[in-house]
Amino acid sequence: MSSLPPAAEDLFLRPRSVLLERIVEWTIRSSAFVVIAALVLIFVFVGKEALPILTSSAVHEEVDLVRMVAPLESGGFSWQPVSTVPKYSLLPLFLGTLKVTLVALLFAIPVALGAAIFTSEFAPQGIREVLKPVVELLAGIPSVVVGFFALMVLATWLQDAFGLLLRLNAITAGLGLAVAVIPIVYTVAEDALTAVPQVFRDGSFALGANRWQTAWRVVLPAAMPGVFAACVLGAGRAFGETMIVLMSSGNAPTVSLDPTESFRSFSATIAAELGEAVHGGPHYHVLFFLGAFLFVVTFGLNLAGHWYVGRLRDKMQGKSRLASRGGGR
Amino acid sequence: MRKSFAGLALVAVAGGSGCGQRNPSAIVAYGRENNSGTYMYFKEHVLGNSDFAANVQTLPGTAAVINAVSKDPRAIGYGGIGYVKGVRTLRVKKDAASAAVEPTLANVVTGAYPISRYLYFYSLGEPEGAVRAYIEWARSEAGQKVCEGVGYYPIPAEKRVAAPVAPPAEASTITVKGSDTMVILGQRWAEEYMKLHPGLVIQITGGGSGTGIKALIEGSTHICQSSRPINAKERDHVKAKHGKEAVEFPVAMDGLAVFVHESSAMQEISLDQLKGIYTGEVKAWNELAPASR
Repeated sequence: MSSLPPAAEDLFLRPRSVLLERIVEWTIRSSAFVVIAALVLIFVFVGKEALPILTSSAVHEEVDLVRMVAPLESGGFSWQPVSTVPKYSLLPLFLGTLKVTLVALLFAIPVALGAAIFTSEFAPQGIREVLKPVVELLAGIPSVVVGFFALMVLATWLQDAFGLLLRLNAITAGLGLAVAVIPIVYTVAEDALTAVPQVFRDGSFALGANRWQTAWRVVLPAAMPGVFAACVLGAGRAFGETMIVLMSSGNAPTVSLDPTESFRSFSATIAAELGEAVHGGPHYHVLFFLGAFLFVVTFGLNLAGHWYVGRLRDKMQGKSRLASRGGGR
Repeated sequence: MRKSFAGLALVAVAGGSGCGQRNPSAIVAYGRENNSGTYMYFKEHVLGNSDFAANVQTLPGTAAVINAVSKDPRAIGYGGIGYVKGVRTLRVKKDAASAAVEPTLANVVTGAYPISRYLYFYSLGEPEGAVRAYIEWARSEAGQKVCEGVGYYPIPAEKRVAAPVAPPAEASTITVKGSDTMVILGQRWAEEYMKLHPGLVIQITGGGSGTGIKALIEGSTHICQSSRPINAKERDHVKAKHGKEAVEFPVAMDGLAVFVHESSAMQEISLDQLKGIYTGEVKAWNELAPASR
């Protein structure tokens, strides 16, 4: 068969391969639809369970949107869903989530960007080929393992090193979370830096800039949308991560931005409480409301991230795309 | 923009590390997640239904609480007695005037120890077949011996089953779900019983008493293990869904131990002091009466 010229081989196989191709094509296409359908259905389900917060009068006897946001009658903000008078202030959870996300990004972004710049601009080929997959392997560590490490080892180290009052706080959890965030930021940022055309570097070197100046002032600014996207995607991951935070945050719903205090995040609250909440009760709907909120925020962050990556691609290929368009006309 | 946000966080870190060191005598209170029977019990019987302070750190599982306390010289925690290891257990006083009581077998069974409770099995309607046999065995002399082996306390003799029925001969699976406090106990019972009756498979999972009761309501478990009595609302749910009552079996007793770090000078504590600590009124060890330290 291989002795036939390519065109003839094609002809010979056509009737069967067309049918086969159709089947394969439809299988792949439908599996893509299944994924999208799953996403939509999940959102519809979460939204449906969250909706009674806005509409159901039975739920409103115990909680409504205003009471979740405004200060309580008893003063202050408090998350005490299992109580004679249940209290559902979102502020403690919001501050907790915000606090740990900021701390995680503060640790993760410099490390991940530094590693990405090193990999794309400075590392010799051999090191690059090892470094990239190894950093990406970090993403494969189950978050429960990271959480356990943060709980058992990191917490003690940090307490001893800084004399902290609380073992479990936003610094412990943030450092653990950084382990989950670094591979995401690193991968996307490294791709963005690598996508910067070689002519940029060549031009910069030709003008007498050294490698550091080229990396810092030419390549990094050129890749900025992608780098920014990397940070946004990292923030999305940090915001929604559950297990690490559940294990190493102390889960105390305090109203505080102090990173040495324990906190309670949205995701950990859902994980810890949904098992107990009475199906269809106010607490149950509040937790789904939190879920819907988390979904919207992480979805928004991911969307923004991908939009920026797309913009970077346009920027890098702008010239060639214009040229080819011009040629087509 | 990134710069300003990094700056903000740095200020927060700098300000925060000062805060954390302010009071060397501060109490670090650990408790359980609000899906646990232990949480409910403590809230009802020690806090008198007041809310826990916001800064009480909640951990999933008694073992996690004990682990945290064992590493933290300023910590206090509470949990089922069967788990206590590597921490110092405090004697508990009902009020300032009464004697401090050690959580021992005798004190828990006589009720002298002020925070003790029954642990329960629940089934959907009167149990039958292998499920009935297993529940009766757990409440028999043999089953109660297992309790003591893992650090729980047996139920009083009048509540035990004298002659448990044997399970049917055919192979079957029993699922048991609920209280994290009871997971170890449940597993030991299951191991022993499966040794006696090799055809049986007994699956134990935790998740919290509330989770177990929910599974019972949904009909997804044969037996629910719970460290608190089922409440009226949950009873109604069971009845509405299955037309059967949730049937209750006390299977063991548990003292709720209060424990501190091994290096702590504390020896005893009163229920009022405990309430003060967990509602946030008492924030430092040196605010407690010196007699108890």
